[in-house]
Amino acid sequence: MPFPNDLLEQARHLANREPKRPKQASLRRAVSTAYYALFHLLSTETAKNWKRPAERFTVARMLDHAPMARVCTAKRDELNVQFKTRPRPGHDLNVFKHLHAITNTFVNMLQHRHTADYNGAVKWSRTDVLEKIESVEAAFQSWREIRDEHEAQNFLVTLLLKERKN
Amino acid sequence: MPIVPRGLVDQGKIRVGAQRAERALAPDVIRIMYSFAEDVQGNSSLFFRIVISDAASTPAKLRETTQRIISKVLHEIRAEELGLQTYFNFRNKSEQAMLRDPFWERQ
Repeated sequence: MPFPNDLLEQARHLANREPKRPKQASLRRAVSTAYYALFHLLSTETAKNWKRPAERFTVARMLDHAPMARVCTAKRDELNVQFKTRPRPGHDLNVFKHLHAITNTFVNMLQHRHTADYNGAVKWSRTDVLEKIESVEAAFQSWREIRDEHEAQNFLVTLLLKERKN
Repeated sequence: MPIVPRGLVDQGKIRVGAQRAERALAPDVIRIMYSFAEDVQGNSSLFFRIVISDAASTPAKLRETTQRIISKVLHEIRAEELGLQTYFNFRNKSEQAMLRDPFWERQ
């Protein structure tokens, strides 16, 4: 996943670009870039399932921010309900927890990216931006843990849906 | 999770819950503020602004600190019963002193 990883590294670079007084432009671009790192991670992973490599970029372009956020919100809320039933500890529960972290981070980062890109009245701090980047780094790690799981691959397919799956 | 309009939310419970969390999380947390607004998906949402201490926001501690704070606040306000989306923003005391942002001060 070189491109998503590069975006994430770039987000951290922007957040730390000015050691003493970070520029709002750097911080806002860092938040936006961290969101796009996660967006491209999920779209790249989805496209990898397309058999013919030549068309994978086109498949990745089918993914759209708002429908993905709706799917992530629905999945996160579904998992919250499931966690309330106190499921038995084990492999399946770990997979669900990682998937919850990924979906929750996507929903949060879409909102923060929207604020960073479009609301100039909001001032960002480096602490806040680093917290956002770390949440995306954790989501990347969660994805590495579950990428080969059925539940994770099923989730990727739902990202292509334009309406909520239920 | 059903999303409810702000007028139907018990704002007193949120205020008391946030105050309880602030007390319990001191001295790492200096103050917890929040506001209601629609999020980018059009859902009624609670946006938290949390000032934390410089000591609690060092690179080595930041993730653990913020995760602990988010978990405690969500627990104290009983977020799942509210039907609201929640979002969190943080800054430390030194950053707020430099930014002098009135939105992050108690009015």
